[in-house]
Amino acid sequence: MPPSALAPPVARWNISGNEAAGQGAVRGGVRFVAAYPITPASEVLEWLAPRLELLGGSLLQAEDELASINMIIGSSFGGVPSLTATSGPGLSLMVEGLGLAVASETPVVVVNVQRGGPSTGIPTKSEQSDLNIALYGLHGDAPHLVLAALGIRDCVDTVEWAVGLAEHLQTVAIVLSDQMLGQSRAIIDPPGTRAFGAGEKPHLQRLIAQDADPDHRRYRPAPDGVSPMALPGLPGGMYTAEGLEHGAGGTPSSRAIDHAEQLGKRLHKLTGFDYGPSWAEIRGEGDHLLLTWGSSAGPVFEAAERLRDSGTPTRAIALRLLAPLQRDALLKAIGSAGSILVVEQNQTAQCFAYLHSQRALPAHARSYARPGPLPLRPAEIMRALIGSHTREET
Amino acid sequence: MDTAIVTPTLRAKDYKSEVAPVWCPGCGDFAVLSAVTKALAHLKLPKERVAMISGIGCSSRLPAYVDAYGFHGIHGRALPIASGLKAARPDLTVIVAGGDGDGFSIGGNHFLHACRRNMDLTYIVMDNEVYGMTKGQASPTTQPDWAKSKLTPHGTGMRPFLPTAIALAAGASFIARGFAGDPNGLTKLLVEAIEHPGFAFLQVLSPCQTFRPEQKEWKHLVHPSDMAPTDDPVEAARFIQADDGMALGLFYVRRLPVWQPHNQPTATPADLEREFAL
Repeated sequence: MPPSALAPPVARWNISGNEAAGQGAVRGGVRFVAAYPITPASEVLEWLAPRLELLGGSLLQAEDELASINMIIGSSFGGVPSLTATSGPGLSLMVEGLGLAVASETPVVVVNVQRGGPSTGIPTKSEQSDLNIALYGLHGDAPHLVLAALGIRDCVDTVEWAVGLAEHLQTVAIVLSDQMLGQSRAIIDPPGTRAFGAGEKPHLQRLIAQDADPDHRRYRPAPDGVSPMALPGLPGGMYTAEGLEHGAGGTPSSRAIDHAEQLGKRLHKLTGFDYGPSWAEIRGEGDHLLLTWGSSAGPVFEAAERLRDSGTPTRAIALRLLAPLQRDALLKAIGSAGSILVVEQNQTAQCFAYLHSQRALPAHARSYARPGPLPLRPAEIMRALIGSHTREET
Repeated sequence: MDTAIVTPTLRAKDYKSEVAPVWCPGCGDFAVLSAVTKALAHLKLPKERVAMISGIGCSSRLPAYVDAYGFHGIHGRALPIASGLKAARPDLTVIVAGGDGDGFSIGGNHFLHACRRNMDLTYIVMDNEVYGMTKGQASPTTQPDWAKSKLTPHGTGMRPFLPTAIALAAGASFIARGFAGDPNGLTKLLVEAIEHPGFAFLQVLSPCQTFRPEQKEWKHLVHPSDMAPTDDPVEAARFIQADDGMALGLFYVRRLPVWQPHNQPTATPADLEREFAL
């Protein structure tokens, strides 16, 4: 068939991960962003600034990250889906505000473009070492969502999904990207019109109280834990959003019964939700298994493909939804793999330790973790999987 | 058919919620709460169009006591929460309330930048020169030789923070001082502050009966400002520097550009995607 007879190709996109994260945000409905510049996340914010205005939204440059996180809590309280982007040091400053968003059930999204840490670390190079703070940084029992983009194109879908989940579940979503995704540019096939394909998930949006209910109680327990949110302007819906523990109406309370009820509400609305199949990307079949998260998906998928091509059947799993961990689905995907290697770009095997703490890994699983700034390469992953496996056999 | 909306006239007490204040008997903050409800009634503001925003501290409990939308946030962050809300919802009347520790110590950076950003917000600081909720430590406005806190047995040794001077230097467009013991004057200042287009800073001397009982004397020390409100920052600076901290009234008011979003909705997310196409 001559080339002219082929259907005209869909135009491919030239995009960076940070631009893709911004595109995911506006697709998800974000119309307010508060911003404090930081390497390597600033391009997310700079991309959004003029474009939010074209969409009827706005961006406000904050005096620091303490302000930016609390600004988006304020705008989201006003009913506007809201997001900020930062990197490790900024995330450290934001965690108290994230706890407020969890306790007050105010949806917000933080895109954390990871860089080498700790402290100022290596601002211009990549590392996956902020998983622990994303999972465990908040004080108290503060359940929230942690997601990780698996590639440049996936920044669009994962951020869009995170916005929808945060809005629907009235909670915090932290999306982990990193310098390598954020500041790299690639030619990609355009993402679908909805994250992970239309119809795959219910339409995710905030449950807003629609009319004056004389018995409106903002934090009233509901079967799925999600209670309607009255927005300023709705007569009869007045309440005070609270960071203090509170009863169903929002009045501060230190009673054990209220604490138990509200803690349960905030946890179960996340753990009881059906996240569908997008919690991970799974490729290939085999007795060998590479398990990873975030941007390491790229070299891991390539390593698995090369192993399969050379006659070593290898499955690869890349986690997109890290919290709440989809443990049952993960154990099913791991199956009876004989050789399991958890791959990540940090010193202390943060994901490996997390998965073990959740009893989501068989005892024979091994870790391949090393810090940045050098990117992970497929060859070292193949050596780590096969090399030691071979030793075990001898 | 004409469907004009009739708003029933609300009285001050209609703006009070059913939540009982946690404040000590005799706390100046009761008078501030009263003045807030009187000002809202005077301005005939529908309850659902008002948002009261605060951080943490005794005075930061105020939003729950007003029958309006409210956010009781975290220590020091009332102004950012309010700024985000106002940027996203310019249609609302947003009033921020808090104390001297919340606003000038942990939240000091936000105070500076809220002044210079000049969003249309009203910021009431109930100043009692002490951290009350944590039981009596020196605050930024405490005199350097006040040695009654176990935390600073020799006093702070630091010159007090001058809220009105700093607000002026940082670019606030409305600076006034009221007194909890002068409810009528306070209500009048609050009405002016809410009506002012821009960032209105209102310091309210609000005595703490528990940890600063000597502040009972404030009622004898306060006096009306002897300067008419000025729009000249040089004149205002001279007055504020010579002020004994007890002058009451509106000191400075000036029309300055108000921060507001520049949005012009002309595109959809799909339109934005075209820029990526090869």
